[in-house]
Formats: sequence, C-alpha cells, structure tokens
Amino acid sequence: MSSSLEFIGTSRSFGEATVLHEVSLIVEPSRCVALLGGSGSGKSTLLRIAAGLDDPSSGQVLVDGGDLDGVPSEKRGIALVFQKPLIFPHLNVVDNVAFSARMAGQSRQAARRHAMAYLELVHLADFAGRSAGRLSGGQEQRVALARALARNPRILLLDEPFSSLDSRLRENMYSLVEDIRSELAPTIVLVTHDRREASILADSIAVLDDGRILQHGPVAQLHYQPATLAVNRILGGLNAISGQVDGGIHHSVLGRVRVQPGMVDGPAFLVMRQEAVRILPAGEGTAVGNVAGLKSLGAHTLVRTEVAGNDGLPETLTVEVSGDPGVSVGQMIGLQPVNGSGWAVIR
Amino acid sequence: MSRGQGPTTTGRAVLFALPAVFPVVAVLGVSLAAAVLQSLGLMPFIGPPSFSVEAWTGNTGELVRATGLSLNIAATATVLSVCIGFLIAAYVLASPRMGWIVGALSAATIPIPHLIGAGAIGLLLSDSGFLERVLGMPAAFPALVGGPWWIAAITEYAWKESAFVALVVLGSIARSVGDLCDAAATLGATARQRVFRVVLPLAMPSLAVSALIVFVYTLGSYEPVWLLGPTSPEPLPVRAVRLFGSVDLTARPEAMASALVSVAVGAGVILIGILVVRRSREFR
Amino acid sequence: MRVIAGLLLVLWIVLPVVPVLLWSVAVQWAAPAVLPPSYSLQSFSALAATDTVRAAGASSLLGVGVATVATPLGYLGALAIQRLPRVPARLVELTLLAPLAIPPFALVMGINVAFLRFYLLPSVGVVLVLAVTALPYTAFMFRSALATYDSRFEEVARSLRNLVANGPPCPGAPARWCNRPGILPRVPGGLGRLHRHAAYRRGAVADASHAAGVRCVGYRE
Repeated sequence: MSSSLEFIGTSRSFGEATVLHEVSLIVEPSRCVALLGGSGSGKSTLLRIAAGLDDPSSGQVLVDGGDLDGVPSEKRGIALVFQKPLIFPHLNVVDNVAFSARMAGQSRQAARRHAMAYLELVHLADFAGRSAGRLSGGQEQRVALARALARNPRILLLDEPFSSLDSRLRENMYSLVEDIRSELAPTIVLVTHDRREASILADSIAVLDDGRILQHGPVAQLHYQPATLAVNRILGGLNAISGQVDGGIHHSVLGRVRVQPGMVDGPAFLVMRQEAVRILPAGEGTAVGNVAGLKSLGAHTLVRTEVAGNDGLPETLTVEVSGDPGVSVGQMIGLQPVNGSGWAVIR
Repeated sequence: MSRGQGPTTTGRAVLFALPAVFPVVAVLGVSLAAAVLQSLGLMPFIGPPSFSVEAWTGNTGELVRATGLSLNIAATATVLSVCIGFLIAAYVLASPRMGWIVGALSAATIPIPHLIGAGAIGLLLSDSGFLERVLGMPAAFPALVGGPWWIAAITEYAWKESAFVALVVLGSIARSVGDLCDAAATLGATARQRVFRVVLPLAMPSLAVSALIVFVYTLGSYEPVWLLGPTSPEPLPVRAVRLFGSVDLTARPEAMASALVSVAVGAGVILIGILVVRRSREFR
Repeated sequence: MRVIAGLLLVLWIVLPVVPVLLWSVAVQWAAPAVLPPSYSLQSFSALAATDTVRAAGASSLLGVGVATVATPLGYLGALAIQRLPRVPARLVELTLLAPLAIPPFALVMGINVAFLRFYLLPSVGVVLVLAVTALPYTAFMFRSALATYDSRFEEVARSLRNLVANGPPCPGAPARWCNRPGILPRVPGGLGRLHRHAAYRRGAVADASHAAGVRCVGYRE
C-alpha cells in the first residue's frame, strides 16, 4: 500500500517571495524522511503541495512515477496530519476516525468497525464514544493520526504534529509512530524543526533552509558528514575550525587531522561534533585548550574552550561531556578527537 | 467565579440595571397591557369603556386565517433564506476570489431597509416590471406582485434575509472551517462532501439561531407584505395596521387582538425554538 | 459548474437593485423597453428639495436622540449583567432581549393610546419606543466588548491579586486596587451568537420600527 513520492524541481512563490526553490527529493516506499528546517524554510509548503492543498508554481510531484498535477486532494490517497489536530467538532471520536470511510460511501456501521481497529492502534478504543471537545491535546493528536491512517493512505504526511505536546507525550507519540511503521509500513514524510525528533523517527533527513534542500542523507551522515556549515549548524553541530587542507590532512589549532579522501587542497573548515571530542588532563591529547565557559544541559555539560595554536588566531571548540566534566573556568586541558579522522567542508 | 461580591456590589449592580430595565419593562408592559385592555374594550380611543370579547370572538375565522397565512409566509421565507444564505456562505468559503466578491455584495445589501427592498422587488417583479421586460414581455408572465402566492413578498424576505443568514454563518465559522475543510480533503472528501458533511454541520447552530430570528422578524414585519401582497387575504400585521388606521374607531379592539396574536405567536415560536436548540445540543 | 453557481448568486444579490438604479437615472421608461431610452440625473435634484432636507434632518435628529438614550443605558445594562449574581443577571439579560421578540408595529399600536392618556409629547414617545427597541443591540455590544476585555486581563488581575496576597505588597497601594474581579462567565453558545449577530439586524429593525412608530405614535399630530 505504500508508494514512492518524488518532487522534481518543485518551486513555489507567493507574489514576490519565493518559498521553495526547485526542490528535488525522492522518498522510497515505506521509508520515513524528515524535512528539517526552521520556520519559514518552506517545509510545510512542500507538504501542502504534496497533499494537493497548494499548487506548485513550477515543477512536478510524482507518486509511483505518476504526475499528480491536476489531481485534487481527495483523489491523491495522501493523508496529512496537521500541527493542529483539527478534529471535526460535530463528530465523536470514532466518527472522526470513520470519516474517510464514510466519504468513500461505506455504511456507518462498517466505517465504525473499520475505525475501531485504528483507535486500538493508537490506544484510544475506550474513547470511541467520547465527544471531540472532551479530549486532551495528546489524545486529540492520536485521534488525528488514527483518522489519517484509517484512510489507508499511500503516503502519510506529518506536519509538525507533535510540536504542541509536552516532552513525555511526545516520547509516547514517537513509540506510537514506530509501532505504526512496523505494522503498516506507510511511506512517511515528517516535517519538523526538531533535529532530535527527526533523528529518532526518520531513516533519512532532508535539511531545508530558505526554500532549498541543502542535503539529504541518512541520519548519521548528516550529523558527522554535513555538506556545508549551514547543515552542520542546523543539525546542532557547534564546532567549525578554520584551517588548511594539504594532502588529505587538515591543519589548524587542533593540529593535524586526517579528513575525508578526495578533499581538494586549500582553506577548509574542520567540522567536529561536540560529542566527538574528548577532554584529557593538560599535556595529553592533540591540542591544548583553556576552559572559557561551562553550560549545563542537564545530564550533559557543554565545555567551551579557547584553543590557541602555533600560528593564527585562537579558535573556540565546544565539547559535550556526560556527567560532571571535572574542570573549571580558566583551567588548561588537553583535547583529542574521538576518531582518528575528521570531516572538512569548504563553506 | 468572582461575581456577586457581597451585598454592596450587588446593590450597585441593581442600580446599574434599573435605568436599562425600567424603560424596557415600562414600554413593553404598558404596550401589552394597553393592547389587552383595548382589545377588550376597556380602554377606548373615545367614549366610555365597556367590556367585550367581541374583538376576539366576533371574527375568529378571519383571525385564524390571518395567523395561518402569516405563519406560512414566515415559514416559506425562512426556509428560502436559510437555504440561500447557506449557499452564499458555502460559496464564499469554497471560492477564494469570486467568493470574496459574492460575500462583499451580499453584505452590502444588509443596510438596505426592508421598505426599500420591497420597492426594489416591486420594480423587478411587477406587471411590466424589469424582469418581464428583460424576458420580452411574455403573455404568460405570472402575477408575482399582488398574486395569490405572495411570491414577490416572500422573494423580498428571502433576498434580504439570506444575506443576513450568510453573514451570521460566515461570522461564526469562517475562522475554523478552512483548516477543517483541508483536513477533510486529505481524508478523501470531495468538494460537495466538504460542503454538506463538514461546513453544513458546523454551520448548524448559527443556522438554527438565524432561522429563529428570521422567522420571528418576518412574522411581525409589515411593509413587504403590505406593498407586495394581494389585498386579501391579509396576514396579521397588515390586518392589524389596517384596522388600527381605520376611520371607524370601533375597529381598534380588533386591531389590538390581531397585534396580540402576532406577539403571542412570535413568543411561542421563540420558546419552541430555544427548546429545540437546547434539546439538540443535549442530544449531541 | 462553480462559475455558474457564482454568477447565479451574484445575479440573485444584484438583480433587485438594478431596476432601482436604472429608474433613478431614467427620464421616461415605458413598458416594453428593457433599458430607459434616455438618462438624466434630474431625479437627484429632489434630494436638495426643502422637504427632503427637512425629512433627513428630522430622521438624523431622531437617530441622534435614540443613540444618546440607548447607548448609556445599554452600557449600564451590560455592567449590571456582568456584576449581578447568576440568576438576576439572566433575568436582566432576558428582559433586555425581549424587545427583539415583539413586532414593532404591535409595540407602538398598544402604547399609542397609553401615551395619549399620559399626555406624553409625541417626539418623546417616539424616542422612548425606538430606544427600547435599540437597547438589545447596545446592551449586547457592550456586553461582548466587556467580556473580551476582561478575559484578556483576567490573568493579569489574578496575578496582581496573588501578589497582594502572598508576595511583597504593591507599595502604598490599597489591596482593593488589585482585588478587582476579573473573571467573567462565558456567554452560552447560542445566546452569545444571538447577541453578536443581533447587531447586524439593527438597521432593519430600527427602520421598520421607525416607519411604524412614526405612523402610529405620531397619530395625534
């Protein structure tokens, strides 16, 4: 039942403002792709175009290779769960979930029977007869999810559906999505501004910034091998050390670090995730840093260090440490990359 | 809840209420009491009072017929206004550009008084009126103004009140309905299904309330039926006003009886309407 | 299909106004002609006639008079509904809505003789009756305005109150300043909607009652 979804050069402008610039993206059947970007990056517009609620200014949307141009929303077989639950207030819970079956001409009884299976899937079978107004936020969003799934969609689009839930509810929804994936295996496109959510739910992440896709790849690749500084920043990478690549080796205040093969010689930034640097006693490691600040993240702590090299200006390197870092501001420490090699980007 | 903060605040609130409540109670009370007394001959325009139920019993048939006619006209006009009003609202919601024009035009007719509306419908539908001329003066053009079916009068009510119904419906659901229709579309609802399975049920409460208002208003409205209807039979307001203005001052009690019947019918309809609306809300 | 529906709706809305507009600029317009044979703006000169001006003046004066009476009374009524305990508030609310339910012609027909008996000036009578029919609108406009105002400041009011009760007191401020009740009951759905939309009817009802009122109350003149 799941299909592939493909955008080919999809653009959208509203008057002067261009929201999407020739976006191309392939989502394979039964895969989950997260569109990650800040507000105004055009990610919701892309979903609305796929769902047929908005038309692209140019470009194509293909499902299983077939062009969707001119196909109205209701005929696309693509379900969309919105940021707001948008539960129909005139229908109770089970009739909300039964809505699509009713629209397809099924009898009330058959539609409700069909709906109950999906309410069980989202653990809300006991709430079937409840009126729409008497649900909590998390319950509403689960009903919205069940309602979309009950449509048996070829493709499921999720437009930041969990952003208004508290963190505990959000974790529940994540495991619910996992259940749904293992049980129904729909093709999913998830729009989110939360890189953690994208990493948990998706097989691959497409980073969208200012209406352009900067990089699309598996979760680990985006974290450890970003294409640009912008991708690194959007995925929460804090470190970009300027330096020179010479014969596959990056030279900087951190010393000599081997980078990916095929990197041309010249100025480049060494991208090193804060989780991938280790703090050592002074005198050990490949570089020496001066602790400039500490910031608690709860169980983790960010240690900001000033690293001065033999030549050039000092650079800031941030290290994420689990538990108590055991250092204090002003202390000199040793620094060492966890892996022997690093990743360099030109811009 | 922090209302009714002790006797002083309540006392002051009662003082606030009095200037507004007193004129209403006085005008309504005096008006209704005077109408009852006059209908029973106890408060004649001239001459000594003498009790009589003649105004109520003397011509019961005509009173009942006038009531039935008024109810019929009001019911037909209400049904038409609600249907057309809902269509206007649904169209405004469904069509972004053209809908805006329809909505603006419709809202623009709201300030037109019914008296002017009646004149306009008269010019449009009368014998050799604008419509008949546009159609090329067909010999079989029916008597719409002054004809036996009250078509011109009912059209006038439907024309004015459908714009009112559309405005009420749009005002109450316009904000929420767009997103819900998007959701319905992604769930497979066609445009027609979105109108009748989403917009209509959402509009139901505002349609019910506006239907009640339209019904009571048309029931007690005078000018359109007087201008556009036949001289006989008469609906309640026309009969009441004609008898009231009659040179024969003895017709006054009958005028009062007609007026009181229309007040009673209106009040009854409102009560039934409130009960029905409340019952359907509980049922849900 | 959708375009045809749109055109039909436009036709329904606009068609009755067309003959009025055409007649206003027609010189002569005899039966079979679909459009007037010649146009002129002469009819509009009637607007400058003494009678028309005097009538417009009288209407405006009446409007101003009714607004002057009905607006402050409506405000007081709305305040009272806000502050009274539940049941009396409901009673006041229903009383102020009652004029909507009574056909204007019935209202003025009944009161006509009573005004004669009380030797009330006709103009005062007309203003009084029209003010009563306008009160439901003014009262409920103020009512909804007060409701949105207070729900917006409800939080602020409550936090101020808490500050007075628990935290450091507002320096030099008597407690009652911060103690103002800020919470309002919600208007029940149907009734609230009725109030809000009743405003749209104002023009229509006021006009009808105006016509009937002048005709009936002014009978003595």
